[in-house]
Amino acid sequence: MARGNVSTVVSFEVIRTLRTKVFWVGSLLGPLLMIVIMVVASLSSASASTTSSTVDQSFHFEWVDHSGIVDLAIAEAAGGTKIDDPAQGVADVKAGTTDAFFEFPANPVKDPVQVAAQDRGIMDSQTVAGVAAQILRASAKVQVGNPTLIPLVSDNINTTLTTYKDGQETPGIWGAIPPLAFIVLFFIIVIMQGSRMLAATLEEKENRVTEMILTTIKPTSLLIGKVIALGVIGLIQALVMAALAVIAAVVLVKMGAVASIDLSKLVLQPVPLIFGALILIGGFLLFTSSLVAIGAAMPTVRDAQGMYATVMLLLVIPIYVVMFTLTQPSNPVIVVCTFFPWTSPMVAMALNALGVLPWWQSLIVVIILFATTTVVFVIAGRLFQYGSVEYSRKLNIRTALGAKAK
Amino acid sequence: MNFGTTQVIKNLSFDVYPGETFGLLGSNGSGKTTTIRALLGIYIPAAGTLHINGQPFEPTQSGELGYLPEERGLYKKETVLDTMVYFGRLKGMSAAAARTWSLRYLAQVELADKPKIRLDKLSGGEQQKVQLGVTIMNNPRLLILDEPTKGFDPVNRRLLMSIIEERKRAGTTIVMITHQMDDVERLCDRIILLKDGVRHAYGTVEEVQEQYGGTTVKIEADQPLPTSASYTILTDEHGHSEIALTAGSSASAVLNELVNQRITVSSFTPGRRSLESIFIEVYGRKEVD
Repeated sequence: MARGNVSTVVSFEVIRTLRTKVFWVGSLLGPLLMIVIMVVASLSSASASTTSSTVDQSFHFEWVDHSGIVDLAIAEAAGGTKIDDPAQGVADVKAGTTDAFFEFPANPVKDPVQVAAQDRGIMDSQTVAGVAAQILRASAKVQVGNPTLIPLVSDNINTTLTTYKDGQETPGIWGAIPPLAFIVLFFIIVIMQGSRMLAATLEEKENRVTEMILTTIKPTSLLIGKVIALGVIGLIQALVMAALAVIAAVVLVKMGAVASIDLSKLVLQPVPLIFGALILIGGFLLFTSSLVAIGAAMPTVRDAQGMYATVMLLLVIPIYVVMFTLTQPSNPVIVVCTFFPWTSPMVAMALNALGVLPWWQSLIVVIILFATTTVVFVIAGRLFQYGSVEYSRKLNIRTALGAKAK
Repeated sequence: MNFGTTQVIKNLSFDVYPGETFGLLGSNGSGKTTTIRALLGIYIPAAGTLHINGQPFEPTQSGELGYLPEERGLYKKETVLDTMVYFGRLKGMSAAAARTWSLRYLAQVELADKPKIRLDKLSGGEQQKVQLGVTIMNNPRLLILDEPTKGFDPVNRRLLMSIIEERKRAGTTIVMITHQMDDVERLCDRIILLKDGVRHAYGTVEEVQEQYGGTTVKIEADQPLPTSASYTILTDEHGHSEIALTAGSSASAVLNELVNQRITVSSFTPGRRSLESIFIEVYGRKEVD
C-alpha cells in the first residue's frame, strides 16, 4: 500500500497545484512580461531609428578641425558647416542658430573632441556627441585610402574558430548550449518552486493535518510523494515557460526583433548531457529536501522565512561565481563552489557545459549531491515526524535527531 | 515516553478487546493524548508498541485504524469531497468507493449540498463533521477518538454520538478520550484513568466504581449534610449531595441517621458512584477546574 500511497500523494499534490490560479499566473506571467518587454524594446528600436534619420535630415552643426583629418564632404553630408573660430561656434549654439558645434583637436587619439550642443535631454544629447565621433571615424577610414584595409580599422572583423581536444574537433559553443539549458531549468524550477517546497510540510502543520495523515502513511513515503510532486509540477512549469519562449522567439524572429538561430548547429554530446541531467536531478532533490527539512522544523511560514532566505542565497551566489567559470575555471573559489553541495548544482553544471569539468569530477559532484540529499532527506523525515505536532513552537532539533529511530 | 529528560508516560500498558468501547480518562496534562500519539508512532516512545491483533502497528495498516486527533484540521483550501476522497485513497479505498461513501456520509450529517465547497468556507462544526467522516470512512476495526465532541454544539454533539454508537453497534473497537463522564458511562465498557502518566484505575466501569466506594447515595436535603463516620461526602452543592457509604454502613442506616438529626430529606437514591465524582476525587477539584 505504501507505493500506492506515494502515487496518491503525488496525484493529489499535482492536481491541486495545477488547479490554482497562482500556479498559472506564476508560469505565464514571467515569460509574458519578457515577451512584452522584448516587443516594446523592438518597437522602440524601430521608432528610434526612424527618429534618428529624421534628426539627421534636419540636424545642422558647425565645426573646426585642428587635426586635418576631418573630410569636408563627409562633414557637409552630415549637415556640417566649417568655420574658423571656435568661440563663434559656441556662441551660435548659445544663440540657437545651430544645433551643435564640434571642435576636433589636433591629436584626436589623445585629446577629446569638444562638443557644444542644444540640450535635447540626456539621451539625444549623447547622440549628438556620437555624430562627431562618426564623422571623425569615417574621415579616418577615407584617409587609410586602401578599400581592402578599411574593414580592418572598423570593429567588425570576422573570424572562424575551430577547437580540438585529444586530436578531435570539439563542437565549441554549439555543444555547450544544450547542457547549459539545465542551469536555466534548475534555476527556474527551484526559484519558482522554492516557496512551494517550503510550504509542502508547513501547510499540513499549520492546518493541523499531519497528525491525522501520519496514521495513514509513513513520513518518508509522504515526503517522497511530495518531492516527486514538486518535481512534476516544476517540469510542467518549465515546459509551459519553454513553450511560451519558443512561441515568443518565432514571433520576434518574424518581426525581425531578434536574429534567427540555426538550431541544426547544436551538438548533443552524451556525456555532458547525462551529467548535466544527473546534477540537475541531484540539485533539485537537495534543495527540495533542505526546504522540506526547514518547513518540518518551523511552526509557521513566517518562522521559516529566515532559513528559506539563506537557502535561496546559496542558489543566487553561484550565479556570480558562474561568471568566473568562463575565464578562471581553476580559481579556488570555483573549486570550492563546485564541490560544496548547495552551490555545486549551478557551478558544476556551468563547468560541465563548458567542457572544463572532467567526467570523473562530474561523477564526484553527482555522488556528493545524492549522498548529501540522502542525509538531508533522512533528517527532514525525522524532523517532519517530530515537528508534525509541534504546532506552535520551533522543534528542538537536538531532541528530534537524538531520539531512537522507530 | 520521554520529552527530553522528563518521563511523561511511565510503564503504561493496557488491553482493548475487540468490539469494546474503551475510555481513556484523565485531567488536562495527564498524558492521554501523548499516550495515543506514542501508540500511533507520531511520537517515538522510549519503549513499547501498539499491537493490533498481535501485530505491531504500522501506518500502512491504516485500513484498520481511524484516528480523530485532538488537534483538528484538514486541507482548508481544498473542497470537502476532494479531501475525503484523498484520505479514502490513503486508507486503501478506490477513488470511486471513497467518493460514493463520502457523498452518502455528507447526506447523513446534513452536508449534502456542500461537497464542492472549500473547507475554509465551512463552519467549525461542519469541518468537524467532515473530519469525523474522514476518520470512519474506511470502516476501521479500531477507532481512536480524542475528545470527539470538543467544539460541537448540543445538537451536533447528539448527531456525532449517534454516529459513534452506530459504529459501536457495528462491532468497531473504540478508544475514546473524553471529559464527558455521562458519555463514558453510557458508551464505555472499560476505562483507564491516567494521572501524571501513571495508570490510576483500570477495568470495567463497574469495577472502577466499586474501587472508589461502591455504593453511593444521591440525596436532596434542606441543609448541608453533617460529617459522619457512616459515609464520605463526595459532592454537596445547593442541597444536592452525593455520599459514598463507608464499609459496614448501609443506606437505611444513613437515612435514619439524617432523620434523627432533623434533616428533611426530599430525595434519597442509592446507586453506584458516578464517574464524575470519582474523577473529581482522583484529580482534585482545583486540578479539574
